[in-house]
Amino acid sequence: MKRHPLQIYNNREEDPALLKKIEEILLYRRGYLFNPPFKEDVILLASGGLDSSVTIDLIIREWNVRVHPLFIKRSARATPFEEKAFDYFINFYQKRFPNNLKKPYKIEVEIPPVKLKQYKRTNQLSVLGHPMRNAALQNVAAQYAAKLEATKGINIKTILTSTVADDSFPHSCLLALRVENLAICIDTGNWKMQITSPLIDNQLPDRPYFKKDLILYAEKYKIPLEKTRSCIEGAPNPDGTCNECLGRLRAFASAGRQDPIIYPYQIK
Amino acid sequence: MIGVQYAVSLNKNFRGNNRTKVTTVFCAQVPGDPFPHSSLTSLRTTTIDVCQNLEEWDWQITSPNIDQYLSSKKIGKAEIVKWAYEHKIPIEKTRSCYSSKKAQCGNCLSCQRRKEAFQKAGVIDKTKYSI
Repeated sequence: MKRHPLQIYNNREEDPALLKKIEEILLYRRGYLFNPPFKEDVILLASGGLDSSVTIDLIIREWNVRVHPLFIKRSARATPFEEKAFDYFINFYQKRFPNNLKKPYKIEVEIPPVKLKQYKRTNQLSVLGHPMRNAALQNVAAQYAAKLEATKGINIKTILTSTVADDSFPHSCLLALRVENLAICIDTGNWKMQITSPLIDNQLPDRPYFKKDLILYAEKYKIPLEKTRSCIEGAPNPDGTCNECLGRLRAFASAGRQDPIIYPYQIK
Repeated sequence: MIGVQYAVSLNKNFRGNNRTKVTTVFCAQVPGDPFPHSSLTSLRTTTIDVCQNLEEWDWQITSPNIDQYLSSKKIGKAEIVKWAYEHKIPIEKTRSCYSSKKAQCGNCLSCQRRKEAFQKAGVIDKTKYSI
């Protein structure tokens, strides 16, 4: 895994030996880990954040896929502002890629259920994140895939997230995606299902991508990053101090660019 | 996933006593369950998923009815019915039916499997079915 000088790559659970074992199971069962879905229908879990908003552009240009964006209203503090950003980019990409961006789908699912958001570790959210958060999101996406097939006859075997290489939670790494891929194949009995992030999958050339790579990509393709929402706090304007804002600011600094968002401390 | 999230929330109240920390989540899959997600393979994969996500490798998600590390033989639905009868558990009060009606239909796949289990166990089925 390459490291960026200003971003410490610290995903503790990206265990190469374990990753190899999980990948061996997938290879044993179907002979491949990830096949790029050229001109296929795919589901993209999108949040209105920087990573997923840029990923829409990237996968359409790279694979000419038909993207079915899925927004999960998961009862987070920032959900209303994330939804506003999601709506903006759906509109933006429907104009840019009218044949590729399909009707978005929104669904309200508490992830995790609000009543269960009680943790012993005071630093749970900064070190581990919400337990099983991404796996739960990806499971909902797999259920959406089944609905699309049942109601519209659309066969979806690829579910994409936008995990980047600088994500630090254990549930935000290639190992977590491979395990979840395996779990979904076993649970659905469909070994063609593939759950991955096109930004870090080692089956794709020139990966992994870091957030700073996406910032430079956005600049090249004129994607208005000021419309994305990274902040996890519940105020309309990003506060610039939460972990997500800090990660974003570090990424802009490492890309040598200025974040177009104006933060409160800059106003002062 | 929700069972695990519930366990993590329960662990909030425990203070450094590992004996009381919840890291085991039981389901009740039986050998005859027909779905791929009801298999031991599925439970093992979920266990890896949970361990990796939580960065704690002592989590275990399993069913005592099908896990060979918990029982020398698999425990089927008929054995469960028989065990309930012997231990005076009012099993007729349980709900198996898929339908949304109050009375169990007696006709859906789940009701049929329930009926078969009672028959195989040699226990009179006191369940009130609508059919």
